[in-house]
Amino acid sequence: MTLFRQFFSAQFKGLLIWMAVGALYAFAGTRSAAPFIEGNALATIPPALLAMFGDMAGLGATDMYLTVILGKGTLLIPTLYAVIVALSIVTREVDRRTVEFLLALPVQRTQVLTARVAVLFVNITAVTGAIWAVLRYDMAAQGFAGTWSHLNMLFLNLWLLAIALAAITLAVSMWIDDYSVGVKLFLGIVTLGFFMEYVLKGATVSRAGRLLSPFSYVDLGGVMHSGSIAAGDLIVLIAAIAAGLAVSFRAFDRKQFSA
Amino acid sequence: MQAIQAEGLTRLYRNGRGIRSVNLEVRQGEVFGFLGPNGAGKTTLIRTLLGFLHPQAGKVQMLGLDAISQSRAVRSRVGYLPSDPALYDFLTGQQNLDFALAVRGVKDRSRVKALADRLEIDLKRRLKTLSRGNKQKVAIVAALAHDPDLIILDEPTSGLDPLVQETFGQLIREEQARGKTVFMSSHVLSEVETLCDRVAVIRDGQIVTVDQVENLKKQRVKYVTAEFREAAPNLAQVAGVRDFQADGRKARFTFHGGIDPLIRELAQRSLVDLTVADPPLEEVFRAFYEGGGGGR
Repeated sequence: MTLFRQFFSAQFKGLLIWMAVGALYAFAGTRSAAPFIEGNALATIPPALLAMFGDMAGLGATDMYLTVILGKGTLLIPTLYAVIVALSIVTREVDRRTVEFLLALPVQRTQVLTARVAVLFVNITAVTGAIWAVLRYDMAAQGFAGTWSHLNMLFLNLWLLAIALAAITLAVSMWIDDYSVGVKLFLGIVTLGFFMEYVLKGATVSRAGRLLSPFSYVDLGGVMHSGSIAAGDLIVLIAAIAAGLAVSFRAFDRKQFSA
Repeated sequence: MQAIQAEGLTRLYRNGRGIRSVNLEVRQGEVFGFLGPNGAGKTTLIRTLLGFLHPQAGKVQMLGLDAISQSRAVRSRVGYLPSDPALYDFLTGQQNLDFALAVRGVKDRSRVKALADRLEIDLKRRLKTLSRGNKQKVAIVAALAHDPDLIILDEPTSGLDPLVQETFGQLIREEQARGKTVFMSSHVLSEVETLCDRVAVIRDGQIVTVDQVENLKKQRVKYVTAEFREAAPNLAQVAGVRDFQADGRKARFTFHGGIDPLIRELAQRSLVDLTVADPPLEEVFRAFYEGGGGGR
């Protein structure tokens, strides 16, 4: 518990900032909803553009708006945060040399990583949850009736994606000792991946052609339609989490901390 | 039982540097110096002892425990001060120490207060607001607060002012008096001479000698510059004087061994100025290696 508390307190200020950014971004979206939903402005968006967010046909106006709000960038916030926290777990400690202070204590490396991965899960949940809460309850407070159970599932999908990206980042970070290099690299990859997904969708590249695109594993329109995550997406995300964590624990246990 | 017993310990980096076939015995209750120039392998050995680096060959026991397979148990009894310590900047000194002691399961904070008072540090300030010397003091407290049986110090006095170095020296002697073992690396010969009972000299990753500090002192070299009222006398015949050069009233030479004969010789002359300086460490080692060192 001491190791958990220490890393949580180290991340606390960042957590509050990212929760605030996510909540404010979502709040700006919910407060702009009325003209789109009541004024039927969504109908003026070209179908090809809407299709970039998934299959929107048949969705109610509120559900369609929520899907677009998420697709417009809200989706990006928990994933970027996930990558930053993942890089803080080991790479930042190595870069700032505090890892010596930590590993000189009588703890097993597995204990250190377990506590930190637990913080990672909690914090990603908090940031994703803050966005979800604003979208869910501020839309409802304004009298919009969405299919909330489907929205919940969409956020579960988003949470899994953020965790998967964090797990993969953590695994790769075991070979990166420079924090600023890691941050630039992974924020670049995630941001590029986010926009590439829409470029590829806009170019009507098939799902098979987008297998390496991380954001293809959150099918916004599909989940809002069905209220469930596609089995294939679920399997890939869970497998990525499991593999990322397995590699991370193994690599951290064997990592050599030279001068 | 030895405090540290390493046999054939090898840990090489890709560039060929590191430590190779290191054999070392540190007795319980002694202050053991580990001397060598930068890049000789001092920090690599310490990191290998503490499990930060895994040895490619050899074995090491610390306090009777296998340092690799029982690393956690070893670290619970070891205090470690890195050469350039980094603690958590966003925490205060007290919070850093509370964290370390909580992980170690130590509830008694009396040693923290006593050590902080001795070193005159304010533990309520965040680390990022402290000078390098004060951060070093917090790190010293962190290394000693849990009352370890073995204290490993990597160039401990770098960054400390002379007064604090003196206090630190007293702390080390007190720990030794309480039966604790101290293993300290340094490239400052005088520091090792003052504090240590025995010393190992490392060069290019290999221990070249382990000896009593007294024997090391006999190998010691000084750079001497003397200015006389009249023309500099020829001191080349004085025992211990080497590389003698005279230039008008000034004389420069290196001096090997105990300094008494030189002082007696100079006392017979009329001196204007006298400078006796420690030579660069490389020079000390050169003289030491040429002298053959001592036996183990």
